[in-house]
Amino acid sequence: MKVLIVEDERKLGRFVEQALTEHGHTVRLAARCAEARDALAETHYAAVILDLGLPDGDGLALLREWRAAGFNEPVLILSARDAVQDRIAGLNLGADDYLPKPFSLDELLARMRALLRRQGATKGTVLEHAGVRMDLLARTVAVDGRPVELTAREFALLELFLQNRGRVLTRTLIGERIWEASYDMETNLIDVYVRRLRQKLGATEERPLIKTVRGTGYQLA
Amino acid sequence: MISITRQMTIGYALAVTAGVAVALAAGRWLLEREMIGGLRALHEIELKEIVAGLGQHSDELSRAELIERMKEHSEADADLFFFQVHDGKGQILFRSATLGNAILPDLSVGGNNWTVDIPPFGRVHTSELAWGGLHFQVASRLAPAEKVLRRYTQISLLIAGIVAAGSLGLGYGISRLALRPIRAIERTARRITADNLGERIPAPPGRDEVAELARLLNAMFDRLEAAFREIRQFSADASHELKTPLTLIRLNAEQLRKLAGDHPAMTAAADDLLEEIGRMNQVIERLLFLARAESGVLPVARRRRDTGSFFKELAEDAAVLAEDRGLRLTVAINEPGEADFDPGMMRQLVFNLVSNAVKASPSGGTIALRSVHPAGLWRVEVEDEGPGVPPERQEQIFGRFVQLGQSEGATAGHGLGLAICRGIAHLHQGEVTIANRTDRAGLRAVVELPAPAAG
Repeated sequence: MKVLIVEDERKLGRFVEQALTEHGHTVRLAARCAEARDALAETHYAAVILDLGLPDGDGLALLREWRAAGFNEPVLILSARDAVQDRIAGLNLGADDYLPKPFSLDELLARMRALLRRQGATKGTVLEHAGVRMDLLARTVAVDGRPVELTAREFALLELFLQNRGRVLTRTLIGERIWEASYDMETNLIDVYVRRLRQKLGATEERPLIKTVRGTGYQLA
Repeated sequence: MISITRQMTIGYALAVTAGVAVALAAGRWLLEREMIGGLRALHEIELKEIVAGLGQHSDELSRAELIERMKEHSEADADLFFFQVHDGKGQILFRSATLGNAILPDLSVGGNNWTVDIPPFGRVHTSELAWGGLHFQVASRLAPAEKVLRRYTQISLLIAGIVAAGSLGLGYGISRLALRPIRAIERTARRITADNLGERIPAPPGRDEVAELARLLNAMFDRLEAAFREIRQFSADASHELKTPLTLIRLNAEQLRKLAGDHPAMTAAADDLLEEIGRMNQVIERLLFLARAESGVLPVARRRRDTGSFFKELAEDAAVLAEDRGLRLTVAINEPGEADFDPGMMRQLVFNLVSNAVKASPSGGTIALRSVHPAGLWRVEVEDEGPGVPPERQEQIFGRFVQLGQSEGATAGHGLGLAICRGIAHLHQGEVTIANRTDRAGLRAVVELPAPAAG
């Protein structure tokens, strides 16, 4: 599939370009707003990876422009701006996902996969994964048919993982979703909760359920 | 503080009411003067008439004749006047029948007119005319005039009352009207925060004081906005300049880790690299957070919230943190109440303090949490049973990158935690302090935020 990368840092753009090419995508790299505008006017892209801080303009303005012109394909924002309001502004303008720098390549690829599949979040009332069954209405969780007692926090955390299976969830994102933290959590609270959740779900070495991604966060395996 | 509206209303009402009262009092004084003056003129005519009827000279008139004439005269005007005649030595020669036992005062001492109280007639005004050694006196009761004046006073009081009430209403209306542009300015200025610095006070037309004030404030907001934009821009630039190379380092480290394959030393080195990159990113984020917090450009979702439920939830998380390290966490007290705060930030603040307490606690120790509402405050306390902090270092450790070298084995922090705590407290117009416990060894961290007065 054709993917447009708008990133002014040449080396960084090349890195992403190479990774996506290896995964079978056709990639065009644009370093400036003007270049990106031309690229999108010339041909159609299945997805756009958009950096916000560009030398000749703001990525958000570009996004607004495209969405107004009827460009409907998924857009993933890459940005060094970590302020929550930037994130919210991006999503409000029609971005489909937001990945703060520094990101992990695996995470970027996983998110791109999700965006291109357009699977979206499961809206059903029952979530199931590897023997874990969560009923959102009855608010019950069972592992291999055996009920498990979870606190409200643990329940919310497991739901977040089940809604985003396969995706690497950074500590920042988990903190934001579960604890309304406006930036990263100072404590290892998230790690402690994940450990408790693993214990309660009966995770083992062979079946870890929630995998630790070093230096990044966690991923439902 | 008394609002200007109230001050203006009261001032206006007082001025108007006092003015009307003075005018009415002056009217009453003039009316009274006019009525007595009229009476006096009537007396003069009456006295001249009497004297004219007596002939040319007093010596030609016998006493009997005088009494006879006076009687006739007094009977004709009995409803209106009292009459009395006396000679130069004070001997009373004639008194009209209507006087009964009462005697009109001798006015020879001073003046020709006198008002005196003569029971049972009440106040009586007397005028006198001397004629040929005789003193003729005519007097009238003031009762009818007094009745008119009383009525006047009653009506005046009624009018003053109505004017007072009316001027209060009118004064309130006028002051509201006069202050409306000021209130509009106040509302807008209140609304303008770090989030919407672009908003301006609608400048009223004209060149009056209010328009001038609005322009002045707008100019101030312009400068403020420019300064804030600069700080935001700097923070965004710094973030971009630091994180973009960090991303590249990280992507390279990830690639190295993949290339390392099964080589244990290389894998470990790459993992270390990735971990340190993560830590560096945290430091960058925290420093940027501090920079934004201290310059006031950080948006704070500060709203009135219930502290009881917030604190309960917070304590549950804190208990999980403590349990994980084999410590006990107790909520000594959680008073119900409200405060204006951003829950995400306050949670961050208290977690930082709990995290410090966990690090400092000896195994098996207890951490106590408290949330209380002394007058005008919301106070949160976190107590541990650790070694405490020497008093001379208690202020110093709120600085950046300052750490206590006490953590044994535990992963060292960045030394930014307490600086961030203080930044968050200041964003809430509050403060965070630490002190050693007096009841036993340990540290007590106290967060105080202003809270709305109860009730």
